[in-house]
Amino acid sequence: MTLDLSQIVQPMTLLTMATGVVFGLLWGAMPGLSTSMAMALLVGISAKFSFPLAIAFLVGVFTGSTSGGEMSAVLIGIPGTPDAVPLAIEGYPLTRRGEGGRALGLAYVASFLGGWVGIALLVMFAPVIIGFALELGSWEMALLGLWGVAIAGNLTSGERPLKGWISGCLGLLVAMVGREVIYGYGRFTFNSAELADGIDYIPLLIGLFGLAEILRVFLTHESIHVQSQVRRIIPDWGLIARYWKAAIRGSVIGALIGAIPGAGGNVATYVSYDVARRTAPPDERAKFGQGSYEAIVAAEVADNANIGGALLPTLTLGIPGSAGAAAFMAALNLQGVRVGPLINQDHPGLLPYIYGVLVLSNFVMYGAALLLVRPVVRLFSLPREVLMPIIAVVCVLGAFGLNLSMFDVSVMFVFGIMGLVLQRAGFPLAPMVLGAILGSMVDENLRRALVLFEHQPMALFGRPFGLALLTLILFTLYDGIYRAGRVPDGYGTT
Amino acid sequence: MVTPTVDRRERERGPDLVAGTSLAALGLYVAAQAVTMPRPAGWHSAPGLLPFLLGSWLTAMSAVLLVGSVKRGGGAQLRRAVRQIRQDVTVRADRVWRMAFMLAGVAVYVYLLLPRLYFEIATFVYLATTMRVLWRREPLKIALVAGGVAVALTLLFSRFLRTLLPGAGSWL
Amino acid sequence: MRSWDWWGKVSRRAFLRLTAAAASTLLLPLKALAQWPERTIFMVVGYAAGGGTDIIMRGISKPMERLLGRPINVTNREGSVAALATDFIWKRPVDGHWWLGTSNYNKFLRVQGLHQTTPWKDWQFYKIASTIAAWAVKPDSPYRTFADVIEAARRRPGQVKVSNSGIGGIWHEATLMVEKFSDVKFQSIPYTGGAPATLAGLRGEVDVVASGVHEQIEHLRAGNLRNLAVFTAEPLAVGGAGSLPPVVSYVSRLKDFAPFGGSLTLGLRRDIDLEILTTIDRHLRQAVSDPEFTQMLDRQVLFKALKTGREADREAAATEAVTAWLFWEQKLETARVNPADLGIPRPEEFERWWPPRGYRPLW
Repeated sequence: MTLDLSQIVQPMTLLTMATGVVFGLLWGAMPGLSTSMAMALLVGISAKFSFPLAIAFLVGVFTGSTSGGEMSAVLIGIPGTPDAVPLAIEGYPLTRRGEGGRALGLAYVASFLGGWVGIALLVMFAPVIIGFALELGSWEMALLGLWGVAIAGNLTSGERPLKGWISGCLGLLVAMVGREVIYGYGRFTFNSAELADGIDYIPLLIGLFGLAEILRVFLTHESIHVQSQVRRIIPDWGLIARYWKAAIRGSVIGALIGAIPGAGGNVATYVSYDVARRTAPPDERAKFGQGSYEAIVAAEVADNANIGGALLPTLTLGIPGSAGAAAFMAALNLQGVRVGPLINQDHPGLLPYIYGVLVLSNFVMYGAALLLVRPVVRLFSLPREVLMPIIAVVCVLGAFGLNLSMFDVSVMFVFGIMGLVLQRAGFPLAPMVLGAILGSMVDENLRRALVLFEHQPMALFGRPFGLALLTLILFTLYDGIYRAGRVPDGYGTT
Repeated sequence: MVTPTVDRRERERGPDLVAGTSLAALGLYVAAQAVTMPRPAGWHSAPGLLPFLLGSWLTAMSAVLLVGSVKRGGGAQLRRAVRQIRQDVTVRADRVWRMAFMLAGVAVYVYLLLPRLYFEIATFVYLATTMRVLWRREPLKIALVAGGVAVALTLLFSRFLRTLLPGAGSWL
Repeated sequence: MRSWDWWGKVSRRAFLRLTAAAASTLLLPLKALAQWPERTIFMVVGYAAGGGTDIIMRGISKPMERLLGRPINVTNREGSVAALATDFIWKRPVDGHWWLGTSNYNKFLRVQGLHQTTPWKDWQFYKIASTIAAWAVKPDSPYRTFADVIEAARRRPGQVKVSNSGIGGIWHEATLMVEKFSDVKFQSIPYTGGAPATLAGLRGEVDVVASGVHEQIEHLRAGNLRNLAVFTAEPLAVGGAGSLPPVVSYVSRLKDFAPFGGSLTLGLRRDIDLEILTTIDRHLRQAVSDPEFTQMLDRQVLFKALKTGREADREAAATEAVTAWLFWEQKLETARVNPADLGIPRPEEFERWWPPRGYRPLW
């Protein structure tokens, strides 16, 4: 399948992409509906689109829904997506002081700018990582997968990385179910023909980020019926110039965290927000929590820079940078694309095409967000008692549509309950998704590496990349254990 | 979400006790199963290798969780937590009940309605019942919303996306 | 109570509809045929995206979509030499909307205990194209010819690393034949598909790549790999890569088996309505001549070879006999089932055995 840039400017592609952005913005604006959820639910649907359109649509949704949470966060103080929590803390006080239009405008400008930094990082580093990844053997791939799960555990569980690691370990175990790829031996199948086929990670993703979220909404939130009156959204570029330092720092943090496996926009905004708070001058720091423009800039650039960053390891290594990126990877898989270091040989033109769509959707996002504020505000009063049952049906459809299998619906259902329970007990869910995705890769490569080095086991420790990764894993574990022992000062969990 | 992180460890002591115990048991079971898997060409390529490592690792981590919880008085905390949950159930009865209803609704939809009814009917029944109980608006409004959504979803999937719908069939 | 009235009505209406639906279900088999294909066809390919099977199946699905007037949705479900995909398709409805993209008539599955169905009895296969096995090394490898590889394996038994697309897969079989007839032992390293197996050679993880010519060709043309032999009796001329030496000139006893390679086969359950199966046959004959498809075959060094009906049944049974007994006698780790117990004849007895009792040709 070859793609080229000219396909981007086709009207159908542009239309599909714009539809995706608008859909994403609306989706993200509704409290309780997150980016990961949108992406997971749309994977099956995108499989019915032609290849270029599927990519355009999903990239649009990714960009749109990432910014979608901002509206409700600023205007009614309820974050539309988990990424927008810092924004809700800082933006809503401003709305109450009558500066909501300005705050929201600034948030959009920041998102727009952050998007560019993420894209730049992706474009610059993709060739570097691809070149490097071609040198990685089975042993290194196994270690890379394990490191991905470990670091995701560290970053998503605040001061209790142990819980992140347990979640990752559970995910890896999920991937162990079914026939393994080397001998075709059925592991943990309990004589069930369905389990012998293994557990697909998309229904798992829909369960953890869809159904569990629906249930959680009913458990934790009161119904909201808030009216917000904002007359004009002012994208104030002068204001962001004043906070250029926070903008640069935040977007770099966002992009880098995006590139770390499993850590998505929610982690990026928290870390960036936290760093901004600690480095702010005293008079600005005093405003934090009461409505700080600097904090808004820091959080929102990080949120959108995260998109490009998250796609980096996804496309070059096949290791998803966030749950949303994992769904994007699954969608590419359904279109017959195997992401990883061979992506340029196997699918010439695919990467430039994705870059192009990202660039355009960033523009569309900025424009559409400003235009859509008024109609979207009405969505906030859409009662969740109506919305959530409908989303539940969409969850069922999303899980079923992938393989047309009711078993997948059961998988979604079981992991929905499990997700709720685990999350209530303080376990982050992203490492589990990552584990479930990377499990069979780790398994296959680890065993092959051990066979390859059967006759000289010590040579495993003499390979420079392998050694580096091994050190990285140990450091990650050490860092987690060390941090767990300190007085916590970090960001929360989601 | 944005909870003060200082008391998180305190707050989670009770759940940790339960999680630690059950996950350690799971880890042991996995490791034990892994040992019984065949080894066609030595241990290093055996299907049970990674499951064994993961099972042991899970057991070890859960043990740490468990020990931490017990040391900080997880048992007493758990009893308090159970009391707390009981209280919650009464104080926040409405929310808990809604959540449970939502969950039961999905189960009924997936396991009872879909296998027996056409997709659009099953969906309508599910949506109408759930909305009726949770939303409490006049029946006509609910019927319109539920019916509209059921028809729209059916058309979207069967006509526009041309895929199969779950359920016993569809006449749209 | 009043508020539930509307609900009771709907429920009664639903019941009537349901009755109507049940009645129409009984009539369904009669009208199913006239409408086939009535929706998107799902093709599940048993190997990774980008491999030989995948390329062919995606290639042929394009003209088939046009001919059938329905989209064909191709997905990959790799692993265990396509056993996972085979199992998956076997359990789908018998309505002609579920196709299996596999290779070699699934001849590897029964002897390895991966799947129970019999290729010529439970499936109708359509062979679409074939491939040729090839061995290659990195340009700076110490092995200058294939003879060097055999010599090295003789000196260090079980230590020369040869990659393949999966234990008990087609390239593993090719390497096993070399082992059998030159009496050496390699260390076989399994990957999930020919493309990753080739990549492993590129980055020097294995000493020798065993995969298809089509999987090596781009790298041969670019000079990243150096071909040592192809499984043919005569040298094979390939555009951009020169003339590739036949393995028979190194291991002469292989000439009975050359040319050897994979058959890229489309499989459907045999109990699907005969008219659907023959309709597919008719359209396939047209689809393989599609210019775009033909061009793709040439570029990728794949060979058009349409075989269906009783021809395909026979080849399925014959190749399974060769493979099953080779695996069993070479004591492959994964050869779990004795071919004799499966009723698979020894290759030398095949001519007398075919057609076996209970065989029912479709066309």
